[in-house]
Amino acid sequence: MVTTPTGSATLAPVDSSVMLRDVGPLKAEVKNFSFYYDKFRALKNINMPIAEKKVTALIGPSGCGKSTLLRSFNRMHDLYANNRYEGEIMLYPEGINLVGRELEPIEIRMRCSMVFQKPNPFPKSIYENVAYGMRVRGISDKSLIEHRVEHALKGAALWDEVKDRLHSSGNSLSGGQQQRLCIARALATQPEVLLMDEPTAALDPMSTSRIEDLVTELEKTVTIVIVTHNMHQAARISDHTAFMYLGELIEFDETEKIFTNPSNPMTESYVTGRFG
Amino acid sequence: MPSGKELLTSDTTLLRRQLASRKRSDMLFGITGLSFIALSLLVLFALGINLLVEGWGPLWQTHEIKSDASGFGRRETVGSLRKVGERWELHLDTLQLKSSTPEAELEKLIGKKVVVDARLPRGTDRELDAETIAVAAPGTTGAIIGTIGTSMVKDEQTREAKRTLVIAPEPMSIEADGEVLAGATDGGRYAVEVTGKPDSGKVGISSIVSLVTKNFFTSYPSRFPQAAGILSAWVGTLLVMFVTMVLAVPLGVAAGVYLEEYAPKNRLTAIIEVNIANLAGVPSIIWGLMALGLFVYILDLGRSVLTAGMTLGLLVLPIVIIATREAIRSIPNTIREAAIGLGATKWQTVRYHILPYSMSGILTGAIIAMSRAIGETAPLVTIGALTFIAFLPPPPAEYRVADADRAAYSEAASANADAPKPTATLHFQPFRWLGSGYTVMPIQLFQWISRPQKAFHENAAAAGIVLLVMTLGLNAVAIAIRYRLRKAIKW
Repeated sequence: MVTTPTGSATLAPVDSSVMLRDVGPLKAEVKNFSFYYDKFRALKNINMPIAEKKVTALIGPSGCGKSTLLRSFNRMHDLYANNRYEGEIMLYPEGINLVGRELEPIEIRMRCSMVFQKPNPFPKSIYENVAYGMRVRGISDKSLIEHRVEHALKGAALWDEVKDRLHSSGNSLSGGQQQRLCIARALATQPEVLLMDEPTAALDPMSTSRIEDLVTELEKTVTIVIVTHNMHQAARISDHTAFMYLGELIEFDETEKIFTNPSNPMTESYVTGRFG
Repeated sequence: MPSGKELLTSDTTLLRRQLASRKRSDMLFGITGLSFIALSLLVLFALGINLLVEGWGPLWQTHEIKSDASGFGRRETVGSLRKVGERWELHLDTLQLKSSTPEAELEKLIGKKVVVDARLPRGTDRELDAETIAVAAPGTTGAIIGTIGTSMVKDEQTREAKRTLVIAPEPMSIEADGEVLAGATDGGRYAVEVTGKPDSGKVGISSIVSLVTKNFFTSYPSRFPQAAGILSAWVGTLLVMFVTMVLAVPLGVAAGVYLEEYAPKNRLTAIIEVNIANLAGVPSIIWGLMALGLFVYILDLGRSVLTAGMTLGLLVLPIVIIATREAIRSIPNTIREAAIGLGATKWQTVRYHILPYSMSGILTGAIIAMSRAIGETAPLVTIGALTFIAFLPPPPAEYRVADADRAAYSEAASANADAPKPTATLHFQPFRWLGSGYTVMPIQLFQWISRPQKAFHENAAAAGIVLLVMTLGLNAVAIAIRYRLRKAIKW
């Protein structure tokens, strides 16, 4: 199954049928997926697997469509008019199509949580921020919520810093803490997939490193798809990496291979910093 | 002025000269702005002072409410007038009497019943009895003080004589000053003004005049400037504003939220959007015309508080919608995405995030809308606000004799004078005030200013001050609410 052409000199994208397919147990799979912003085709026929309880990184230059792909996983594009999905993103074990019209986007968002590029806590208390995901589901059992909030904050490595001020505003935290709060918020509902859209882009190196440690820790319990501009970050934390360019998937492979011995010369020039 | 290449020089003297010239423009603009602001403040100050000087007096002046001695209107037999020695005595069966004429005529009345048509203090039943009078004026169950005949005024045209009798514990002066002959007194005593036609042989007391001193805020409009007040106007303004707010704010906020969060972005919504902005600029008199056609004639809602509230509500609706949309638009999209991303529905996002975070902006819009509505005159004139009303809209609950009982009583009383009086009961009528006639502050103000007497102009100035304070008060309340909301949300 592992059929990766080596030493190919062509600049054309590698035929996706010959990319790495076997990544172990699958959590999701992108199949012949295209996405349109009105008439503009932002994603072109993407095929890639998402391994369960692994970190999959999406890299590529600005405008390559990596965020668009990530946002398709929890149907964020439904918020804006004239967006259109084509193809499938299957979620396992049931094998349901995430972008299928018949599927309620809210259900998907409850299973696939999103962490955004810029920390976006609600202007409410830390506690309410984390509890919100449960509140929208109508959970009102106070002890359950308390338990889950604590668990989520611990999971996001934020508990020790905020346990004494759970009722102060989420915006009183530092940027890095806010981002971890957003992660805790996303974790509180115990999602199956955690989607992270450049979660450290707005953070300083110290906070970035804490988030990276956190991602490595979270990998044990949840499948993570992360978009990043920072190639070192992708190299450090991900198991698989997908390189995208102009809406196409150029290469998908194990991270180590992408960064040490990429099949496609474009990937190589990108990861070595020659363009992008 | 240097130009072209010279500007790109490294010559420091030249650079400094250029900088000085640029800074001069800066300063010039600063000074111009400052002087404009100073000038505006000066003018504003002058206007305010002028208003205060003119209106301050009537605002605090207290005066007796004087009788409108309107002749022979409603009359009821209330008691008898008797001469005892040198004095007249008024013996009241019920409260009021009606009588008077020259002395000779009065003498004929001794022992007879007299009728009074009175304007009673608020809250008392029209059919007061002797006991009530006794309470009102302790120890004065009917002594008439004053020399009858000295204070008579004759009106040549109506051949009506007026005379004031005062029931009071102590003697007091009776002045003949034009219309009213009541002696000055206070503390809730009553003067009885007596009128009658000298040659008709009929004698009546046309009114009982309360001498309780009242002021600008608790008096109805009057044809006497000193007695005129703004009670009906400020109550009317508050009621109309209430209706306006109840209609315009929820509707406007809902429309704004829908257009911003729910409506698809297409040609239709674009047209609606442009037209809402246009509607905000439609002259208010046009709203009045449309409301006259729809609410008054087609829906037949009459010239009521409800019509006025609905008209002003429509007038300010676009303002509320626009303000709501602006406030909602200022919420970063990331907040929506965060909420939606956690699996919230659109309504949950709106209810728990969009509305709370935009509430201060929405409230500001609502205040602006109310401030606009409170000063509107033209549409209300168009739909028929009254200009002179001496009553208040009915309260939501009041003690009164039911209409049916009253009718039954008057029927029974005509046959049998001793018929049992109907009893007053508590009536709930929560919406009756909506159908009542009304006037509002700006209309009262306009009515006064269009009169020739200077004293009315002063009243208008005083009403202007009150209107200003009302507007500022509304704003203050809203600012306080806004401040609290802002404090609760920390961005």
